[in-house]
Amino acid sequence: MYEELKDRVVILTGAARGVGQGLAVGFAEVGATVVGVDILDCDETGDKVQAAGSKWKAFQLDLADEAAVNAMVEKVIETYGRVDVLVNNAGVLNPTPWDELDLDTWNRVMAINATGQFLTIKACIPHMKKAGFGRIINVSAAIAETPVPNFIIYRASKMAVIGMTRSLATEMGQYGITANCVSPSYVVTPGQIELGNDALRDGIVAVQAIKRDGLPSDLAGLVVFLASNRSEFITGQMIHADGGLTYK
Amino acid sequence: MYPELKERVVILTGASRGIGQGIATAFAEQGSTVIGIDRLDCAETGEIVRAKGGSWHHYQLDLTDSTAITNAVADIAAKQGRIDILVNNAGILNAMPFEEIDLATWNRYLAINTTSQFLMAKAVIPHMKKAGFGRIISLASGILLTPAPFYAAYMATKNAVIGLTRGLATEMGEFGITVNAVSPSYVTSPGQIEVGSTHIQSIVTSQQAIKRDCVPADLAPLVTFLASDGAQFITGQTMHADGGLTYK
Repeated sequence: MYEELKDRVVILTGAARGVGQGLAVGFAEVGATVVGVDILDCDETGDKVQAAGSKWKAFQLDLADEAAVNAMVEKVIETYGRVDVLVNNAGVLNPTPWDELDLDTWNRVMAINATGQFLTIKACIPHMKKAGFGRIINVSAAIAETPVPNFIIYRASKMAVIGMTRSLATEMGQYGITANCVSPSYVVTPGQIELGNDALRDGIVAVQAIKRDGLPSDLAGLVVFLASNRSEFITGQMIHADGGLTYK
Repeated sequence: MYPELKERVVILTGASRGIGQGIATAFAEQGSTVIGIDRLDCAETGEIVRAKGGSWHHYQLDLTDSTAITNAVADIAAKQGRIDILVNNAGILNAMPFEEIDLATWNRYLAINTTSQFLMAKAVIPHMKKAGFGRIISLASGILLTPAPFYAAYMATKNAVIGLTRGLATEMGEFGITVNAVSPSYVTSPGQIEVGSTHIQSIVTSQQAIKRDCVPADLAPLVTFLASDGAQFITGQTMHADGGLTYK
């Protein structure tokens, strides 16, 4: 499947666990080289990628740190000579009611969810332009488009990413670079359990057309397709693999 | 590419030429059995499918004829033993100022672009439900989200396709059947040449992020992806392979 993805270099943020781990495995299964980036240790993901027979490299860094992001991409280029696909999966999903939403929280969530994606894209684009090929895939979440309360800053940051992705798509169209957003449904990941968000699950599954929990692997099919040559005419889109949670 | 598509039975309307021919080709490349339905002769498409090693059958019928549809699908089910995928591709598209659209024309658009999709879905769904598997993929249109003039009847009937897609997705989720719509950009197909609409091509292409003419091969990979197992959690969506003509 997707032979052209073999040995293509995929930078994947938020690779340590959950949806990111599912995406890493999806790419490993088609033979892509996976570069995992996370503030957490990525060893577990690395083991799975390598067990699937793919090459793996890991970077532990804070995506809000411009210098660290730039150094990471430089190191990837130095090691592999290329970066083909960037999957911006890292994000924080902290429920925060409006009255508790202070400026520090606003800035922190924006820095990771939106600015972090801006920085990784900024670092990768020159290399993608030179190669005349690039795939930028930004992971959002379908619940950002449902009437679930307490996610104001999360939604704002994800809508910012969608806005950036659209304009980026327009400007990059002539360089063989596509940029799209993807949304899984709610996935009960270690990150979500930590935040106590697993209580959301039942309400969301009940609304979905396909009434089962979203899994990290549910998004992988779509992300790998978008990274392939077969999606070259798809750009600027926001695509949901969310069991029919929301329709667009 | 998608081993699971080998020998799956695909019913494809509007198979005789243009976008339909491109979709038939893509499924043939996966080894699927392609059953072409069109009021026109499908011999050319049949040759392509067979040359690619796919199995091919065809039914020449008018999609406004509900009896003909029922009979054809019953015959397909009896002969093939299964119906896995329905691609509702047939449609008409003709530029016409609103004042020139009379009731007969409006009803014709509705019958071919929308009601035929309803009739095809009605016929195939019992078989898909019995099998616990189905993929319904319907053609919408990239121009739906643009301020293009002279397409009131076309846009109404294609938007109705999206409504049907969403409603059906919700009710079919529990049966292993996904229902989605896909939108290409404007394609200079034989059908468009016949109605003299080809002047639209350059206008539309110039608005796209990727500034080249949309061809059937740009949409076909999206259709086969949606038919694949990797898309099992994608339903109720309208996905664009339109070179970034519109963003959603």
